[in-house]
Amino acid sequence: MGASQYARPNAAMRAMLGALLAPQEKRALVAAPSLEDAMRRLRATPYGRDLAVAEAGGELLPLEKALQRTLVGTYGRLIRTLEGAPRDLVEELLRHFEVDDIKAILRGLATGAPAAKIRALLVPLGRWERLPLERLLAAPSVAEAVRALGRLPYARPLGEALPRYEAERSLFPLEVALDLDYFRRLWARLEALSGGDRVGAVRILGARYDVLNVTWLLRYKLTYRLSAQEIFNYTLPHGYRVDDGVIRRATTAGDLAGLIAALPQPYRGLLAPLEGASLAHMEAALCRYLWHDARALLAGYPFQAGAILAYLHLKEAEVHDLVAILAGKRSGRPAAEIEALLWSEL
Amino acid sequence: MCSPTPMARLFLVTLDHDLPRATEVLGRVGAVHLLSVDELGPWAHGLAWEQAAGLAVQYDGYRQRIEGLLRGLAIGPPPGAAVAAVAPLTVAARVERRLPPIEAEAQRVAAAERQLQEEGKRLALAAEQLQLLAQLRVDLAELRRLEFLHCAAALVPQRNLERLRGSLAGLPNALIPLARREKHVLVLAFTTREQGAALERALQSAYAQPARIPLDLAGTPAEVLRQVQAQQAQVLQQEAALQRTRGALAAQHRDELWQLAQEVATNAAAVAAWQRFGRTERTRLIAGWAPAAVVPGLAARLEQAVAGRPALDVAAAPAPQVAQAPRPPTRLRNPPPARPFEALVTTYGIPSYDEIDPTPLAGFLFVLMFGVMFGDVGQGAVIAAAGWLLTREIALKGSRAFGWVLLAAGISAIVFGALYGTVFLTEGLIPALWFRPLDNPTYFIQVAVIFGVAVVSLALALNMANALRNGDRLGFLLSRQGLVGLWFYWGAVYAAYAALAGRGLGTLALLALIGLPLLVMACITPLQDLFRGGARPGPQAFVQSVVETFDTAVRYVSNTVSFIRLAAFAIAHAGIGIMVLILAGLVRVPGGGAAVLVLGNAFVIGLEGLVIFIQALRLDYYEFFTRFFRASGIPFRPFVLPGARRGFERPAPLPGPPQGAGQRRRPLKTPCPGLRAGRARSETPGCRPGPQAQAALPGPGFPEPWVLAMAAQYEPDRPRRHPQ
Repeated sequence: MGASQYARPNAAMRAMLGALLAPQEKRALVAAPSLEDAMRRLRATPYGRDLAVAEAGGELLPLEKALQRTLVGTYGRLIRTLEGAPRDLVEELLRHFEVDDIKAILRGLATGAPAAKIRALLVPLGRWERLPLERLLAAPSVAEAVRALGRLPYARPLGEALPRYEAERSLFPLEVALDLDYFRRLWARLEALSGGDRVGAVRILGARYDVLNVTWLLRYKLTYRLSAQEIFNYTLPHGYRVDDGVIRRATTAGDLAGLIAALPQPYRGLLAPLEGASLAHMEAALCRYLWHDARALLAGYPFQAGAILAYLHLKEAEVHDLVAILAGKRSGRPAAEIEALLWSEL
Repeated sequence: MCSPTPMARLFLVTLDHDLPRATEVLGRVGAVHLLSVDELGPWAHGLAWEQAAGLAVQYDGYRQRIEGLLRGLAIGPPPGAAVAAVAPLTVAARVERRLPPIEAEAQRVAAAERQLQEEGKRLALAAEQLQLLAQLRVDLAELRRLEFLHCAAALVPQRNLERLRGSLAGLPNALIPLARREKHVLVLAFTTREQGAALERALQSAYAQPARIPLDLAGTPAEVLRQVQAQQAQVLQQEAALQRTRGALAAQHRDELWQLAQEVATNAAAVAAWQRFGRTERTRLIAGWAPAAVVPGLAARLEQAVAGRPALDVAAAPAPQVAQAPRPPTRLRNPPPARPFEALVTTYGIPSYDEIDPTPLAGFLFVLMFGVMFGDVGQGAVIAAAGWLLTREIALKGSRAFGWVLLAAGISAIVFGALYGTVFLTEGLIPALWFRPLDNPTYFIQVAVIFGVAVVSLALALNMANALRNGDRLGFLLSRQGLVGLWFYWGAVYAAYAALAGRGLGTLALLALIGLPLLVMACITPLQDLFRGGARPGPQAFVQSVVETFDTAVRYVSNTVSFIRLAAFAIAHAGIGIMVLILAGLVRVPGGGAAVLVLGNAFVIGLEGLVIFIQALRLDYYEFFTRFFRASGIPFRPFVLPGARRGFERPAPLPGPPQGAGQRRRPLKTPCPGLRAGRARSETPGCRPGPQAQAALPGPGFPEPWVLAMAAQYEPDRPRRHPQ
């Protein structure tokens, strides 16, 4: 797609870019003395109208859903302006909500949660919804839910992982299979782009894959204590700076310091000072780097898929941060603690 | 005609134990568009009946279980639906009692079948994999007895194979792909015995499935394959025996399952409706809309069914200017010839209850415009014949209404074909009763524009009529689609006519005809806001209003000019006709000319007919509807129990009340003689309000005090009973 084809998406994206919260607005939210105060401030932002309908019970989940609805709406508005391979890519990117929904449903079914409770956790995808939600929620077991996915692309990887779920009674193999398959498919969409489109998209999405691979490496190595072969199989063969060589070196490292040392810059520099910190803090630090990278990309040549992806990342980071702030306020966390877990810089 | 069916708003307060009978009456009559208690306003928010949702979920479960059983036992759906008695708790108890033993039997058979299927699949997979290995001359048992090596046979998803290779880079290994099956690769993997566990974990993490080669059987793959095939034959025999058992089970339980399915279907629909009802300790509140003409009959049936206990309040639909929700639903009411055209309107939107239903006019204009653009006696006859076939449902079942539309459009095309003198694209076969489109295109365009002026003026008249119906006098007079709009439009039309006729108008006349109404239109929105008690308009409001006025003026012109397409398509039709005739004349093969003529006509009927159909629809929608039709109505969706006869004008007979109804029950704390209806407002024959109801009857609007007062009369001095 050339400049002329990106005129509409770019205009739409620039218009929406202006509606993102300014750092001072986010700072004010983080510094708000209570959840009510944070909500009052949030109501004065462009999110106010969307949140009004969800505020009735003072529950956090409806607010989260309302925020996610705005995110899905943003995806939808951009998808409608795009054509061809970039459209396919952004539409596939939107599908990561579907992947999250399937995981939520499988977890709910595995723990015997009531359908209404599971449904409340799902991302409201509206017209983009493809999952047979009624059948999935009514499924008597995880295996039946997997079968209910029918011809959707998630059925195959989950079907292949199902024997392991049956044997191990753990959702881990199912969720990993789902993630690996989804991100491979997303990368295939990216590879269908051409020229400058692809370069920009690889930069922003490749960095996102790097962050995924690094956070998975940390989790598999430190939390699950998996073997080097397993970790290699459970990571993605794509990325911007993290390749198979990096993953192999990281998997054979003896400890966390060795693992971090095996990573390329800037990830090594970002994680080295956080050696004693929790995984959530490390993930937040990596995501903050992605946020900076997305902003830098938006300052460059505008008529390319990378710019759209960068904006979507900023929007997603903002929604994540708002949910984190509200959750933090609800549980009475100090502002500094909340700020450390945000994906954007204040 | 032109107005939806008059609706009456119903409020029914009934005792909890009368609810099933009342629901059955409502569901059999099928004339009440139920409202959710949440829609009634803040006063009703505390009345939501949340437990009904639990019952609905329970019934959903029953429905699924019965469907599962019918499917599992290969029994079809019940033959012919019938309404069962509404008695959710009784039916639930019966289902809970009867289903488990049948399910247990069916599950036993199903489990055995599943086991055999699994065994069959395992053997089939083994056979398939053994066929892939057939060229190996190695005894499979030997692979198990390797002393220094660990060997694993597995099916690896093809897309994971490269990743698996990469993951094994640190291990001494040999990964030998043997064969491909669908999207999997059968591999033999070897490593040292010490690294066996690491290899197995690597294979597992690549989602490899262990190969289903029965290692308990000895011999080469070819020898083992023969043994597996013998086992497959045994499994097939056992499956056949199980199928016979399942058939016997189905025959034994078919009738009972069908009966349960019908009872569950009826009661599931009933409890789904209950979710909309309100509740107090002992009463249930049902709110909805029903066609006013049906209400007396409905009231009598309710009284008969619940032995004089319910209290019913009936009121005519609120006046349109009462902006209270919920608004009445729209049930279109058109004479039979106009009904097929309702789809043309509802595709665009449902008319609001308080606006004119444009169906007859839209249908007439559509047919007329189609004929103008597609005037051809022969082709019109073909289209009319196709329409007639559809009305007979000889082809394409369920297209009867569309058939009538096509028939009318075809007849219109025949009439205009006679006026143009065109038969199957050929001019001259019959004399033109009016004129031939190609002979005088300028005249045709003038006629089309005059027609456009008439249609736009009609749309404005309808908009003004709607404004009057809604009591919006300001809108009638001063809105851009009101009298001022009409003034401007006719002024502009006259000015254009005068200019074309070479009779120039003076400045004053132009100002009076066009300038003044434009000025009024430009000022009207801010002033209307001011009159209606809004804020004092700022300059921004005036700028916006000027822009909107400019837009309106342009639209008036474009809407009118758009009708030129009537002439354009008719002329194009004649032009295509000439082209087809020339082509037919050029063909020298015997019969070729006739073939070109037939194909040309078929092409024109198919393609041009479709295009003109769309254009006529487009003129209806964009040039006509947009001027007056809000289309913000709610479709009338009555509550009907599955199997009840559709069409409430002739509802299904209701079974008599249960034996002893009314005698066994405890008398009400407050006397409630018979059916109480708001006679003061409804004038419903046969419904007389009791003294308490009369005292509590509210004024116009929604009867919050009446409902709550009525419910309060029934409140108990004893514990609440469950509905049933």
